[in-house]
Formats: sequence, C-alpha cells, structure tokens
Amino acid sequence: MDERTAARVARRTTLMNLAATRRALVTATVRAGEIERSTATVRGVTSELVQVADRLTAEIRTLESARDDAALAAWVAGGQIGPMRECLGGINRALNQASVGDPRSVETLAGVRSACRSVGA
Amino acid sequence: MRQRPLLIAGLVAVLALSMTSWHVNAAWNDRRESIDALTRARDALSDVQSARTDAQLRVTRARLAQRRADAAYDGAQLSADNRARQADATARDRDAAQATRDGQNAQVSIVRQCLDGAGRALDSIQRADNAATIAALQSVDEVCRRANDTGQGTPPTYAFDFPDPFVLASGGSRYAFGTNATAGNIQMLREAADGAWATAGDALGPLPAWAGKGRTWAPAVLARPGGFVLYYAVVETFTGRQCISRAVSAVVTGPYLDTSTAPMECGDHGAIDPEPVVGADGGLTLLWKHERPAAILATPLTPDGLTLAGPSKHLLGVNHEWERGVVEAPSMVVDGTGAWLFYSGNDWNGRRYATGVAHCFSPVGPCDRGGAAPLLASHDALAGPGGASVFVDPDGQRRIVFHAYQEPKVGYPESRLLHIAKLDLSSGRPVLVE
Repeated sequence: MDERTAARVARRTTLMNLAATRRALVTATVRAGEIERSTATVRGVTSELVQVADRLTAEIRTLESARDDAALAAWVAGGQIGPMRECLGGINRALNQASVGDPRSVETLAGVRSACRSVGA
Repeated sequence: MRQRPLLIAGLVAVLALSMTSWHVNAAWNDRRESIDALTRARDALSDVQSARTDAQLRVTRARLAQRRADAAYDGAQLSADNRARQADATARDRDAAQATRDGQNAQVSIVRQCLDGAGRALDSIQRADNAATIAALQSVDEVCRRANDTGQGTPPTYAFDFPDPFVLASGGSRYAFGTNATAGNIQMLREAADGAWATAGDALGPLPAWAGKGRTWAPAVLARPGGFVLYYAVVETFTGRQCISRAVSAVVTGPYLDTSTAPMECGDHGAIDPEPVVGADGGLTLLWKHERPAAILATPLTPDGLTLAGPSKHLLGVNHEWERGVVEAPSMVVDGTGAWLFYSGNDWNGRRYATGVAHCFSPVGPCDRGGAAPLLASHDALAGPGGASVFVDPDGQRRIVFHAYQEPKVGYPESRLLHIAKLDLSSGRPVLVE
C-alpha cells in the first residue's frame, strides 16, 4: 500500500473516530446538563428543607418555653394545694366542733393557722 | 536527414519526461493532500477528544456534585424530620403541662372558694348567726363538694358533715335530714338536678322547753295525711339523757315545730335513732335504739304518728363480734318476705363502724340475729359507713343513704359525708350497688 492510500485509510478511520467521539461528546454534554439541572433542583429542595428545619427549631424553642412556663405554673399551683387543703381541713373540723359547741375549735384553727397564712386564707 | 529521428526521439523523450514529471508531481500533490487531510482529521479528532474528555470530566464533576447534593438533601430531610418529631413531642409535653397547670389552677380556685365560704360559715357559727352560716354554706356547696373530691372511690354528694342521714322523696324531689352540725339543729338538704345536694337550712324550729341544744340527732320524717312528722333524738335537760321527740310541719321542708311538754321515749338509760316504718297492713311502728344495754326496739305508733301506742318489742341485741357491743340506727324496709332491719354496729367514731342487716317477720319482730358480717363496711376511701336509712325514690327504686368518713380523715371532728347506694332485694337478700 502506498503512502497516499495509507493516508486515506487512516483519514477514513480518523473520521469515523471523530464522528463517534462527537456523538460521545454530545451524549456526555447532555448527561452533564441533566445531572447539573437535577442537582440544582435537589439543592433548591434542600435549601427549602433547611429553612423548614430552621423554622421547626424556632418552633421547638417556643414550645419548650411554653412547656417550661406551664410546668412551673403547675408546680407553683400544686405547691399551694397541699397547704390549702390542710387549711380547709382545719376549718371544716373547727366548723364541726363549733357547731356542737366544742371549744376545741379554737385549738383546731390554731393548728392550721400557718397553712392558712401561707396561702393567704 | 539522419538528425530528424534523433530530434523526434529527443522530442518523445522530452514529452515522456514531461509527462512523467507531471504524473509524479500530481502523485506528489495527491499524497500531500491526503496527508494534509489526514492531519486535519487527526487534529479535529484531537480537538473533539479533548472536548469529550472535558465533557466527561464535567459529567464526573456533576455526578460528584449530585451525590453531595443528595447527601445534603438526605441530611436536611433527616434533620427536618427529627425536628418535626421533636416539635410534636414538645407540643405534647406542653399540652400535658398546660393541662396539669389548668387542672391545678382549677383545683386551687375551687379550694380557695370553698375556703372562703367555710371561713365565713365558721365566723357566722361562732357568732351564733345560723342564717348567715346557712347562707355561707349554700354559697359554696358545689365548690366544696368538688374540693372534697379526691378522685378516690365514690365522690361525696355533699361537702359538709351530715351524720345519720335520712332521705324522704316528696313531690318529685328528694330531701335529706341529718344530725345537728353546721346547718343547724336538724340539717336539711335539697337535691339538685345533677344529683348533688345543697344546703336548705335548719328543718327544726325552736326546741321544746324540756330539751337542750347541741345533741339533736338522727332525724327521720314520716309523711301523714295533712303534714309531716319529724322524729329526732334530743337531750332532756333535767336528766341529761338522750330522748326521742317529734315535731310537725304542714310542708316537708318545715320548719318542724315541737310543741311537746315531755319526751316521747327515753328508755331506761336513753333512747336515740328513731325511725318510723309503715307495715304491710299500714300500721305505724317507731324503731329506736335503747341505750345500755344497746338494743333495737319497736314501738307501735298511733295512726297520726304523734304518739306511742303500745309496749315496745325487742327486735335485736348485740349478737356479733363486729358489732363490738353496739347496735343502733335502725331502718326497716318491708317486702313480701317480711321486713329487713338495717342497723349500725361498732364505734361510730372509727373505721370499724359498719352496717348490718337482720331479717324480721314483721316491723315488730321477731327478727333473726343479724349478719355475722356487716353488709357494708369500710372499703377504699369509705371509712365507717353507718347511720343507714332506706328510702324509695319517686321512680320506685329502693335506695339506702348512709354516712361515712373519707380516708384518711377518720373520727371526730372530721366530717361524716353523705352517700347513697341502690338497694336490691330481688335475690332474696339485700344487695347494695354503690
């Protein structure tokens, strides 16, 4: 085979390679575009999720604050009920004693004076 | 002439050479062009390969970025989910804490209102102002009933001390009468629509001259044509004994007036806990407790219920260990089998006080020895249930009313609270349904 023929054969082969490579280039370019668009979408959704998580974090802080306030208020109220019931029990006993003329009602009231005072009664 | 062929040969040679040269040149040019085309093709291929390599690199980078973005998405999703769960859990905790707070605040408010009313009642009672005492109790009946509800067992239907209760259904309503306490000599309640009881006041008018204040016990009311008779125990001032008397009123709510000049019955050493019973034949009998020795007696009454009309019959003495020497607070229901006598035994001031039952042939006996075990004894928060009395609702349902302490507040001066249960005799034995 002379040099010219060899060059022609080589050129043909090269042109075929060129065509295949161009197709591969197009395919790769399209694929890259698809992946990049998909990635952009995912990033957008991710950003929204991060915002949702941030909002939830703020909401959790508010809820925790409300929970703690309520627990404290319940604790304070619960602390009052014991002395109030003690005071009420003493007043009821004193009532029963006074209603039958039992002078020990005075002592009964004295026994719960501290509890009654602690709850402002 | 000989030079002419040579010239021709020379011309031919030159022509041949020229043609050969032309061919050679053409071939050379053709070769060069082929090589140039090849070179260009190879250059183009190289460029495209480079571009393809760049594109592939871009794909690789995009994939890497995609993986990172996916990971970031997964992380953000997980974070958001976790926070959402945490927010839900915290919201539940907050709701529970707020419910607890609201419940505690409501309890505080209820107990405080009750305290205020009870305090006013105490001030009034210390000033002997019965009307103001009753008004103060009436203002806090409901809140005090709720304040006393500890959530254990059957909640009391009335907040204050109401011993030895008796209930009468009249005119479609129910009225309760009880031993003297905060609401007066004979406490009276009226049932509200929701089943709770409200202070109605003192049922009894002025005590008779022979009677003393402070021990007006165990009332019972009998409806008669034209009015009502209230039986009760009261101290006879001269002897100090507890005796039985009666008062009358045209209406069930009183005031009941006692115009007697002497007790109806005092027994040998005292008489308490009167309760009338109407026999199957319509005859009236008064049941009562004889003090020392403790016994339940039955005495016929005149048809108007105002006077004892015959000798007393012994119905029941102390027969059982659980009674601990005490039988008292009789109440009787008559049915097709004869009569059931309910009574209390043991110490009224403690947890062992209980309610027993005996079966009798008639309201005036004879009766059997009663139960070896009480019908109703302390259980759960109910302590010392006794002072029972049987009554019939407007709808015909038999019920039993009794008092009981509420654990752990047992014994004077704690309150004996009002309770009502259904009484079922259909099985041939009394059964209480609380």
